[in-house]
Amino acid sequence: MDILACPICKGDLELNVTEETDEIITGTLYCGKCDEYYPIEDGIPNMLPPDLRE
Amino acid sequence: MIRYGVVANVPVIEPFEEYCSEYDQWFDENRFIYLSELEALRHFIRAGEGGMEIGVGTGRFAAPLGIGVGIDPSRRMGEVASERGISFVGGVAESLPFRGEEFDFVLMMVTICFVDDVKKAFDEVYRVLKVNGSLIVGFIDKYSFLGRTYLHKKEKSKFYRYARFYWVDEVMAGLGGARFHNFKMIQTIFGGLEDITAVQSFREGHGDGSFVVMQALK
Repeated sequence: MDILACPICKGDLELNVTEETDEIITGTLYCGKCDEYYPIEDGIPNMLPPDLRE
Repeated sequence: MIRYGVVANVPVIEPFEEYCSEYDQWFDENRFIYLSELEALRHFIRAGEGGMEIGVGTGRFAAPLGIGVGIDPSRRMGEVASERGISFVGGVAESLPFRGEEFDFVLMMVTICFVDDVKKAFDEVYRVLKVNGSLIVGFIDKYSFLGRTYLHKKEKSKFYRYARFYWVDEVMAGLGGARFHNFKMIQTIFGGLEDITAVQSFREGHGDGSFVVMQALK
């Protein structure tokens, strides 16, 4: 997770974990500059730019 | 000169989501092509270096090459890549979600043909590579035997109907435009598909083999 950056502004992300075992299972990565949340589901961060998400 | 985009601003995701297992089976059904391409890629990868693959798919190349991180817009493919030990991230080449100067090398394996904006993607790769890091681009040469075969059958393929094929000079021009330098090239997959009955070796240059691997430095 520490290599990740916001796909838009490349800025730092704030990690919020809601479920964790050995690894982070569920949570979010938040970019304060863009005010965007990137979800982590089943351990996979979805870092698609917001306009490309379903 | 590279012309960009097949379908404007839309990454090719759906066919890979829908036909994920079919995609993955290709590697078993075309084992010698797969292994020949894998050996050619291995030529440019040094053990212990930190790599990332763009368009990692199900991890068929990243896993045996020891590439730790993979990105792809298709989550379903990424779930398979995760099972193969890859740290998978959903995302697109044009907007890489990584910090600058993070990787020793980046692999784009039969990926540029599906990327919407190749110029933007190459600029992004340049950003995330360490100084002197390398980009390794594996692609089917548009004017090779396989390139022409795929182009001819393009509309019938679930995947390649969305593809835009490039030839060597176009890829080099695109990489040069993104400030890459020191190009090296090798080729493999010689002859028609029926001729590939064993793992083929690779050799320098291009023009004879259908599959080209180009390495360029930041």
